[in-house]
Amino acid sequence: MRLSPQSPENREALLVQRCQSGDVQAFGELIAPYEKKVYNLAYRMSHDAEEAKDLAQEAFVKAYLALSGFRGEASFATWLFRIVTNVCTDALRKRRQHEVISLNRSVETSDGEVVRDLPDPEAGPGEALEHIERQEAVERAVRSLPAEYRIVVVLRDIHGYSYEQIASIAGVNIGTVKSRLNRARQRLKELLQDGELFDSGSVYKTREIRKGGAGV
Amino acid sequence: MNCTQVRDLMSSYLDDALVPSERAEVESHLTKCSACTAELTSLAHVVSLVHALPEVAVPAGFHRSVMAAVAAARRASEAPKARPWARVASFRLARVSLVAAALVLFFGLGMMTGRLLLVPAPGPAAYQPPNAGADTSPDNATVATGNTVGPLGLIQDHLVADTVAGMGRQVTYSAKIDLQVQDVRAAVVRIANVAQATGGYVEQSKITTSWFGRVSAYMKFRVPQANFQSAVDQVGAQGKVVSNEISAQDVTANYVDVTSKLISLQTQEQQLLGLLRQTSSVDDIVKIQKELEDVRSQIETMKGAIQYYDQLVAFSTVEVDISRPLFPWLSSIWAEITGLLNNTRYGYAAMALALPVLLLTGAGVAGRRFKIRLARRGRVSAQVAGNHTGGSEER
Repeated sequence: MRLSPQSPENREALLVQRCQSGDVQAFGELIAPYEKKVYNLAYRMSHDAEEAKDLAQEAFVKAYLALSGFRGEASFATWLFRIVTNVCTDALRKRRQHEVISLNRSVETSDGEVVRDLPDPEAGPGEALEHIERQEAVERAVRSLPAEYRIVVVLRDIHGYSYEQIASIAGVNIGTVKSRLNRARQRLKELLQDGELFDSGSVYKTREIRKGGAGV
Repeated sequence: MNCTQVRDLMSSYLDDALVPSERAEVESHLTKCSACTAELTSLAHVVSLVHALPEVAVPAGFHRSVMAAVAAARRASEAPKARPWARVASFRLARVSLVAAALVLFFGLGMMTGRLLLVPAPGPAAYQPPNAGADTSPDNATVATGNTVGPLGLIQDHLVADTVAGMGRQVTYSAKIDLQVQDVRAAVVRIANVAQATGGYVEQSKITTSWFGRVSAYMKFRVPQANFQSAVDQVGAQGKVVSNEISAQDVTANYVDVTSKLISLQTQEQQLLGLLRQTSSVDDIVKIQKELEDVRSQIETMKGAIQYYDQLVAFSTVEVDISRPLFPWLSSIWAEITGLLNNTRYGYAAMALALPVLLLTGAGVAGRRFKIRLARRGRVSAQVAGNHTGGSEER
């Protein structure tokens, strides 16, 4: 009667079945291996740890409620990440409308994007400090990307998914994945290069945002 | 291929996601164009920077809080639909509810005119788990199967609150299930297994045999909140569920109350200790010591209360009444009547008056059935019928 429990796919399929027949505990086992990835994705797609926690939790609840409709067309992981992606991009889009202006975070205005950069009082030599600063600059740059662009960069360059997987998770075709990824990376490059070039003490910098059709 | 075209493909080139012809064109352009080569290098650098972002750790207690939210969502989503067996049960109940309502009305009116009603009935209190922490909370929400919108709003509020604040609402859940099975003793064993399998423990288990030989049982067990729904479902699967009542009780207020008392007591304790250090008069020292002792014993009480609430929230209570159906139709009338009566002020008195009528009807039907069975048996074998003269129970 039992499928071989060794294979992770079988184990997952069995757990999905148990969840669908109403076993909440099985859901706990099912999601345990994904909690870290899901939380990390939510973290990169949100502003802070608290919001990430809320988003990840919301995504898991949605996944639980939608599980009865899961028929295994995609792998459970892809299916789960599609939900997480939707939850995160929705939240991001909603928030854009009443964005809280915070220091050193990018703000969309009618004449392009303004990045508020504060001179860092702790800036100084020291490799460790530089490393942290660079990391923060990268995080800030990633966070300044619009949701649709941010998700492809996060899925590709942080989570290492293939173009096909990203297309399936984000619900777009591969051409769109390619063009969004290209434009997102170009933009990150501009942001980071500028940051390196004009780092000392500039408070406001206005940048042209490249607008126009996708390249593919 | 010009620079713009190459730059559009650059990101895919880095990921080796180009078809061979495109790839060849990009590469041949790169050998000629130093600007694009520089561009490629910096783009690769950006990718490596993003890739180097560290993985963050999942916050402590994340799994637990997710599972609590999932369990709450499940309750919120399933209760309004009512599970299939609940629908069957309520359909059967509906058929007899008219009769029962008429009976209750009849006896209720009779008693009202007869002024027999001065004794307040214990009512639903008898159905509360003995240590369920009082009905004092105004947020006490009850969802009986078949009930609809009202109380569910509350439960959903709990869900929302649960999700928003990490520490958030402290909600205890309890279920009361009336179960009918063919073999009561076997069901008790199976339900004990359910309790164990869901990580809980049996708090109370009682099997009674009535004077006419009818076996029934009462069980009470506690399960971790995350497994509450699963335990309720598994219990329900053991037999026919006559009634199933799930209540959520918000103890946040009690919790906050006790916690703030504890904090103020601890502040008092510190103040007293400060005084103790300053004073040198023996009289004062004795007084302060006495006061300190008092405060400390109160602190212990508060700590105990917090522990109690923690336990209450961490574990949900499931109570099961198990019996063998007497006669299917009679027991559903019975369930309907007790259900109705439990909600009326005069429940117990009305029940006492209704009882003789029900018993008489029951006895009549039992007698008829017994006769029919005897006749049937007689046709098969007169001897078998002879061996079973005492047995009024069905096999």
